[in-house]
Amino acid sequence: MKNRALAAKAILIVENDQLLKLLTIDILEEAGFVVLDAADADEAVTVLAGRTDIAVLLTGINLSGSMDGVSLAHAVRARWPHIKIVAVSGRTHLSAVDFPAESRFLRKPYHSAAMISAIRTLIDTADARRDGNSQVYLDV
Amino acid sequence: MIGHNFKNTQDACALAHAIVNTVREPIVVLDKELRVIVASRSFYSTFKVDPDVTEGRLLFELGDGEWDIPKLRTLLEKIIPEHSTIEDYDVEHDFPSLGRRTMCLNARQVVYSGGTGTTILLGIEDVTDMRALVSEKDELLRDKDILLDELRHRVANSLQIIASIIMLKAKRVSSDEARAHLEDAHNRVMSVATVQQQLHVAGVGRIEIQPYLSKLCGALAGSMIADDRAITIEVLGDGGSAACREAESFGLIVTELVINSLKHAFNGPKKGGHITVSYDVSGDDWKLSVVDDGSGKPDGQFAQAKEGLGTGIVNALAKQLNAQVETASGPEGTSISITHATFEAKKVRAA
Repeated sequence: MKNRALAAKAILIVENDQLLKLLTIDILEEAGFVVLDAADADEAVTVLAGRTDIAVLLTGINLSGSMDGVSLAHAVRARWPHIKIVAVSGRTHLSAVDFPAESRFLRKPYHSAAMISAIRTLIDTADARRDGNSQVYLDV
Repeated sequence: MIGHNFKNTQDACALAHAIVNTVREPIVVLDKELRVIVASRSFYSTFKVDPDVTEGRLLFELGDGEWDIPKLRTLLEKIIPEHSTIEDYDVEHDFPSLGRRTMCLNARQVVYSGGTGTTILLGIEDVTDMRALVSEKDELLRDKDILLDELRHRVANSLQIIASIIMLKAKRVSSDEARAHLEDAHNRVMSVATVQQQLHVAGVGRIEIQPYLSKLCGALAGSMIADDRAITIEVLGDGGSAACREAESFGLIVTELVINSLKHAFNGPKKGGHITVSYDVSGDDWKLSVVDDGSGKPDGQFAQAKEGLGTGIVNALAKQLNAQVETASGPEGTSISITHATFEAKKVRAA
């Protein structure tokens, strides 16, 4: 089941810090993902509206523009409920409860391996659901 | 008793007047109909009114009715007759001559033994500036929290960038040795970050050591122990707290030693293992130890990479803490303890 072609497998990364965004894109591409990026929440929404192959939104919290990462996560869950969310932040007052259900929250600095495994788990879970597997274990 | 000091009522009146004029807090004395009998000098100066147009007039008709404040009416007409005393009752009001003021009111009803007349003493403290200072202080404290959060955010971002660059380099180098070194560097950046994170979570001031070390070891286990390795880390101890700087050193020492055990102690045929971290305190003395049940080194030294960076870090931190490092290693595992024993405690023990 793991190696089947997936209907949606691209990752959209939204991060304010250009250098960190570039590095994260590299890390994700090395791990075999298709990666798209957006500079802020508004651009992210535009990208999401124009494509159907995005499986995961990976967002930072400090974003310029009309929404921060928390608002973006909720907006995306409301409009595209199938898209999984991974949020990353170094802010100490945030935790998983600030994000939509079944999202993953990673505190910066995180191990790249932990981020990749979080994304894989979310995509695998989504696949299992689509395949009608009723036994889904969420690691959240 | 005040009454015994006065031969006639005039003297008592003179004292009452003097008291009203002495207190710094503006005071108004009102009769049963809420007519001003007398007001203190501080009242006249604070609210910029003249005694001539004040005494004998109804409070609510003073000036152009600027004292006709709904909350003040409720206080004087309803609350005072029922409760006779009111303290710290805040009223905000826009005075045409003074602008918006916040007043803290204290009122007391005086009932006399002879007759039906009552008097109300109304203290009106202008707390506008004080309240403004308090709210400014709250705002500054909020700003400080925001700034601190911003700083942590930037540090976290920078550490993430450093860790990501090292990780990418590690993936791209062709030499196994170079890769091992880069992965080691990556883990050190992450462990410094983990210690900082746990300290932030623990808060400022004195840090409770056991929950702090438990969380730290939980984070280390989560990131350092692969799923196929059955290694457990346990934190023991009888509590105790330490200053932030000490706690940081404890965290770095534990991180180094735990990583060291994970790297070198469990490479034998047995995949599982157990690491025990303990922190014990007795007065000013404490002992921090990390013990594993893996395969130790026969020479009694704790297992480590050739260059001994880990040992160097632990020794330097121990020195900073005025503590001794003791290691014991054998087939049953490795035990390293860092002990801080003060001269005072030694004397007591010797006696």
